[in-house]
Amino acid sequence: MAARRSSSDLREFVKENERKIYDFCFFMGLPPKDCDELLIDIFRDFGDTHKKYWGTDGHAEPFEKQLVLYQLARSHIEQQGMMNSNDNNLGRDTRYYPKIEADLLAEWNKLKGERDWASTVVDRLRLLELDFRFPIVLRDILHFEDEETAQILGLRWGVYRQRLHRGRRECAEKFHGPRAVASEPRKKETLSEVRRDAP
Amino acid sequence: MTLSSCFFSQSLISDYIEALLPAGRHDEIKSHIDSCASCKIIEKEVRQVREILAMVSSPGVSHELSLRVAEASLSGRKTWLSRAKISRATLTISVPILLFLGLAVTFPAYFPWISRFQPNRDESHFVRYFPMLEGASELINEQSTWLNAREPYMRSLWEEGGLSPEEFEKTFTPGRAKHDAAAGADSTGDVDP
Repeated sequence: MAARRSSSDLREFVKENERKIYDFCFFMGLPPKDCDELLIDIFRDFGDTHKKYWGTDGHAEPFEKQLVLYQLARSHIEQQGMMNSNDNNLGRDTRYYPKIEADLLAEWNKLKGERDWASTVVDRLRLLELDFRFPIVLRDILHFEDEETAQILGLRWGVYRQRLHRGRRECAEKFHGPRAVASEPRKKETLSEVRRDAP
Repeated sequence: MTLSSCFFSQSLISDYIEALLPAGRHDEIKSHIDSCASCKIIEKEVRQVREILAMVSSPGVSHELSLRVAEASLSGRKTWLSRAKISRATLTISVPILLFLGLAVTFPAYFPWISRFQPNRDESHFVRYFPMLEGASELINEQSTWLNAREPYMRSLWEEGGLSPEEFEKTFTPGRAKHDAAAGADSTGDVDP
């Protein structure tokens, strides 16, 4: 009886969260086919965890389950992201890609109606480092609360807020595209630079 | 406002937008942003980024994928050859074997039947470790016979009263004793050296 209730709980929980976990994988920049496989892997592992910890009485706080599920997803995405990383590729692609080079912040009202608008945004997000991409995706796209995001990422509050803010700043830069950024004068990045130039 | 306050307000813009700052700090940054063009641009960009990211949506999960996910979560991971299982099986098999071997090596007397499984070998392999064993019994027998047989003669060498070689030859030459005995019976006298 308890086992049946536990499996029905699990089924409901999976149904509620599969879309969000898929979005998590998708906006973290994994290719759609990898997202499908990863989603199955994540939920398979979560099923094992569910049986192991909540299999007998089947009862757990919803946020506890959600935390475990998203932490599992994060570790899977990190592993996959490391495998898909092309940081070691030599040379650079100098072909012109309007999709990459368009200024999204300037033209987003025009572009947002397009069919592959989401993939355009994901292409830009993919340019961010994983450390900055995680908070942005969880907070701004999946709309988690700050406390939940910090717990999922295992970060302290200050570190999480700082990464979120820096991620947003870098995201704005990536959304502008390389041409807009190149035409601007270089911003003062470090505190020492700012202090040196201060009147 | 100075450049340094520009730097600090730029690093707090996200907190300012989400209204996470204390009232005093919030007002301070608000007045700075109103007066500073570059900070205003950054604030606008961050707001735009948040807006874009909030609006974007993924293609979603297909019905087939949803079924596969449900099935995977309920069935769990099929790990016939998981690392844990291999390690458990190895331990289950190897620990009793090692225990038995240890006992057999330590107390071979309790496992005499193990010698049946040794390959057939003659005793020559003992010679390697105990070279004197090779033909030792024959040698010892032979030499003791020789000594015993020659004892009276040998004694004559070491002590007085032993037999001389002639006596010895007379005594121990095969057939001689019988002949002498027969002769003694005729002439009832001691053996004359």
